[in-house]
Formats: sequence, structure tokens, C-alpha cells
Amino acid sequence: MSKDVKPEEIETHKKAFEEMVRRARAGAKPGDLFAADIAVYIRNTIKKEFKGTDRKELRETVLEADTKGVPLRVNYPYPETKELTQIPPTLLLKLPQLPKQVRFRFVGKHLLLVDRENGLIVDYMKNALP
Amino acid sequence: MKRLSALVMTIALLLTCGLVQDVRSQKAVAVSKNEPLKVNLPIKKDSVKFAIIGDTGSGTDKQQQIADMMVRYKETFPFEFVLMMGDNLYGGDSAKDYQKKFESVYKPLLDAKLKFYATLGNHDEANQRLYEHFNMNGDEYYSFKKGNVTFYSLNSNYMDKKQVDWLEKELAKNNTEWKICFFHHPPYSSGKAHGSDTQLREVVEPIFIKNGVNVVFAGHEHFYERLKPQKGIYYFISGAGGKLRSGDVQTTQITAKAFDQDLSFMLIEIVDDQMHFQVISRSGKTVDSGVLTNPRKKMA
Repeated sequence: MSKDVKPEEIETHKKAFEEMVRRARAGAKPGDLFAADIAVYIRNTIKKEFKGTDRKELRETVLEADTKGVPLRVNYPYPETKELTQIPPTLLLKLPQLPKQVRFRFVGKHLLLVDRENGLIVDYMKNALP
Repeated sequence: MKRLSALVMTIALLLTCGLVQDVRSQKAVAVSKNEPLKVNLPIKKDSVKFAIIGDTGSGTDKQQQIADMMVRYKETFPFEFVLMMGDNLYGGDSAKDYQKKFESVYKPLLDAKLKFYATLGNHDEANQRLYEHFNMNGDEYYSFKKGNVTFYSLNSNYMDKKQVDWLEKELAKNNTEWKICFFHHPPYSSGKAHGSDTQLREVVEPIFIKNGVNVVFAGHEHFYERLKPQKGIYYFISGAGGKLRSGDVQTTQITAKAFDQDLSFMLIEIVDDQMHFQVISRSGKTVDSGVLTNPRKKMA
């Protein structure tokens, strides 16, 4: 994909890539990437990082974001119309570093892994936010 | 029957209010069309001239009116490029969205070969980095140089270690007179709805201070605010280019000037060690203007 393309090309690329990945990961299920030990580590990190007022603020930011209706389903697209909640930088610096194509995203109290190229939900972890 | 007539009355009232508001805003724009535009900027030959818009991508008439006002001001103040503070496309990133919320709105500026440099907001997909007219060169964070100014566009939505490392490295190796960072979430803000992004501030502010960043522009808040310098850095919020959160600014100790009564955009001119700015509302009224001296130069 070139670095200065037209919107139609972005759209076509995104759809084609989405289909390709969806087919390739047809059997993907929750917990494939957020494996049990990783999930425990992430939960503990969030819990440690956000205490008292900080946690209250994070909860407010995350819960007030327009993410209602985002499906908690692997291999489903994150709806384009929904907000991409900011991950607090102080937390992001403590979470495991991901390849640049994959992103953490909060949806309510749940933590998602989303493919930035095609918007597909790669994995999710329920109630990651205490 | 009573209920029905009450309903009819309510609808009529709402329609009337809507119409009145619409006519008012149109009148305000129409009136200023006949008035000469007042530019409070030096308009020097070799200066760096640019405009700033934020939170634009609504595709509404109001966004269009701001764009029209920018075109009018460009006739007097020939700015060469535009910085976008994020939330470039609300509600979707399809080809139609790009058309409706960006290309058609800023067509005269795009036709004049003006470059837009975008940053990503919390409503923007990362794929916008590939879009030809956002000049991000495929990156979610990037820098570019104009005259004696280096601009750093950051992705405040996802400030991970890679980006932090990149920023530190890029700033440290650069000796440009002006280092200007722009991104979506404001480290300092007097907004009721969002307020200061303290988490972001905790990470980026020490890097800015250490590496001599002079000015920071942000959006996210749908109003204009100029903050009092914080630890030697000038902060501005320009997030009312397409949406307005009227009455959202609670003037605080850090506020130097704020405007939340209409949409607005900024014009900037950097001449040597001085940065001149002018903030203009949708009706063409100047709501703030002034000149700042490069804080590093001031200290030297």
C-alpha cells in the first residue's frame, strides 16, 4: 500500500485485508492471544497502575466513550462509527509492547486487541478494568 | 386533543428556534461578507504562515462556513499549509466520508495546492495515515520542517514506547529555533467535559521541557483556549473547526483566553523569534490575537 493514496484505495485495501485475515483465522477464539498467564499479568498491571482517583478517572474516560455496540467477538470488525478510546500513556508504557499492527483498545471495562490495518478484533479480555 | 395540540406547539416552537438560530448564523456570516477582513499579523515575506483547525470532520454547514472563512482570510493572509488537530472524520472513514467531511469542504484550499498535515484523534482510524491529502507519509507520528520551525505530529491516542522513543530521539537531534508539537488530546485544558489529559502530560511534558519544545497545539475540546505558559511552554487548544461545545470552558487559573461561543480556527505567522497568532470565529470576528516570543530565546 502506497503512502499517499485515495480514500477508495484505502477502503478496498481494508476490505480485502479484512477478508483475508478472517479466512486465515477462521478458527480463532477468545484467549488465543490473551492467554491465561498474559491475562493475569495485564489485569495486575492495570490494577497496580490505576488506584484511587486515577482509577476513577480512567473508568470515567473509558466508560463515557462512545463504544456501545462494539461486538465482543473475535474476527468481527470494530465498527468504524465508534470511538477509539485513548489508552492512557502511563498504562500503555507498562503493558506488553505489541507489534505496530495490533492495538489495545478499551470497550467499556473490557480490553480488546484490534488490528489497526483492517479493524478486526483479534482477541478480547472481559472485565480487564477493575 | 390537548396532548396533540401541546405536541404541535412544541414542534412548532422547536422548529422556530431552529430556524431563528439558522437565520441568525447565516446573517452573521452574510454581514461579515461585506466587511473588510482585519488581519492582525505582520505578513512578512519569508515568514512561516499557516492555519490551524481541529475536530473538523462533521460534514456540517458550520464546518463549511469555517472553511469558507479560511478561504476569505487566505486572500489577505496567504497561509501556506494547515495543521489538523485530529477527529478529522467523525462517524466513519469510508470514501464517502472523506469526500463529504474533507475534500468537498476544503476544495478551494486543496485546489490552491495547500497542504494539510493531520494528526489522529479518537474518532480517526489509523488508515488515515495513508491518505494523500493528510500528508502523514504513512506514519501515525511524523515531523516536517518549514523555515526555522520543525513540526511534530504525534498520535496522542496511542502513545506507546515506540512513539515516545521516536519523539525523544527526533527532538534531541534537532536544533531548530522553533519546535512545535501538535496532537489531539490537550495536556492542559479548562474544559468541563474533558479537561487536562494528565496521563498524557505525565509522559510528554518532561520530554518537551528537556528538548526545548516551544509551543503545543491540541484539539479534542470543542472550543478555543490559550493557556498561560506552563513550565516555559505555550499551549493552545483549537478544537472547534467543525463541532462546538458551547459553554464548556470554565475559566481557570491556567486560562489566558478562551472562546466557546462559536466555531473557530487559528492563523499563525512565525517571524524569526516571534510567533504571531489570530483566532477567528465562523462569523469572521477576531476572538484572540497576540504575539509570543520564543521562550528559549527570551531566556538566552
